[in-house]
Amino acid sequence: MEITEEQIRQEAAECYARKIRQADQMSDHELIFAGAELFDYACAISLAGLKNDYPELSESELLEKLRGFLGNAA
Amino acid sequence: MNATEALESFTRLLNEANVAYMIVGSFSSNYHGIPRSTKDAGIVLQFDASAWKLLSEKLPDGLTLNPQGGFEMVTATRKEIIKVAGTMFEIEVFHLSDDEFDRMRFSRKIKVELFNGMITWVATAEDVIVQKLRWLKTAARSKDYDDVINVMKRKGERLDFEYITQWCNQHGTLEILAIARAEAST
Repeated sequence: MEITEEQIRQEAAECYARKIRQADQMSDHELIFAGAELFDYACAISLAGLKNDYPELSESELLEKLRGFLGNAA
Repeated sequence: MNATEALESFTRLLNEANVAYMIVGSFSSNYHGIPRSTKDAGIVLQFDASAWKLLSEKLPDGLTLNPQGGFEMVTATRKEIIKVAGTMFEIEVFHLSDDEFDRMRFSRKIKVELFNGMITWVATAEDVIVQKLRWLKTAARSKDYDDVINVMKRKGERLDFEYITQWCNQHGTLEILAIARAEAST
C-alpha cells in the first residue's frame, strides 16, 4: 500500500505530539538531567561501535577518536 | 565520571557555597521544551572572589577548570570551561555580564526542586526563547530554532509574549520570532 504525503505529514505530527506529551509527563529532575543522560547514552553506543571497528585501541584512544568525530557538535 | 554525575556534583557545589547561578542554553530549553542530547551544560554565574576560589580550588574530583576559557559569542562576555574526566562533556560557566538582558534573565531565574532534595536555578521559558533567538541571529544554528519551537509548543499560551516581544524588538529578532510563533501554532 502506498503512503501518501498527507499520511506522512499526519504521522509526523502525531509523533511530535507524543514527544510533547512525554516531556509533559517527565519530572523536573528528569527534564534537567535528560540532556546529560542522552549524551552519556549516545557516547556509550558510539564507543561500543568504535571498539568493534578498532579493537586494538585503548579506552583513552577510543575516547580521543570519538572526540574527533564529535567535532563541534553540541 | 559521566555527564550526569558531573552536572549534579557541580550544581551541588554551587548550592553548598551559596553562589548565585542559573542553568541556561540547551539544558534550560530541555527543561521547558523537549529534551535532546547535548555535549555541554551552560551555567551563568555571578563571579566574585568566592566563586573564583570555588572554581580554581574546590572543584569535585573529575572536574578540571580549563585555564584557557573563552568568550560567549553574542555578548562577548568571558566563559570558563570545566572539563569532565573520561568524557567529552563540558560545563561552560558564563560570567554574568552587564548586558541588560543578561541581568534581567538572571533576576527572573526560577527555582527547580529535584528528586534528592537538591535545588537548582533555571532561566524562565520566555528568557530561553529570547536568548535562543538572539543566538540564532548571530550563529544561525538550526537546533536553536528547533529548541525555540519546542518551548513554544510545550508552553503554548502560558508564555508571556508581551515580554518576549519587547526584548526581541530590542535585539532585532522580531522577524524570526514571528516565523517561529507561526510555525509553533500549526
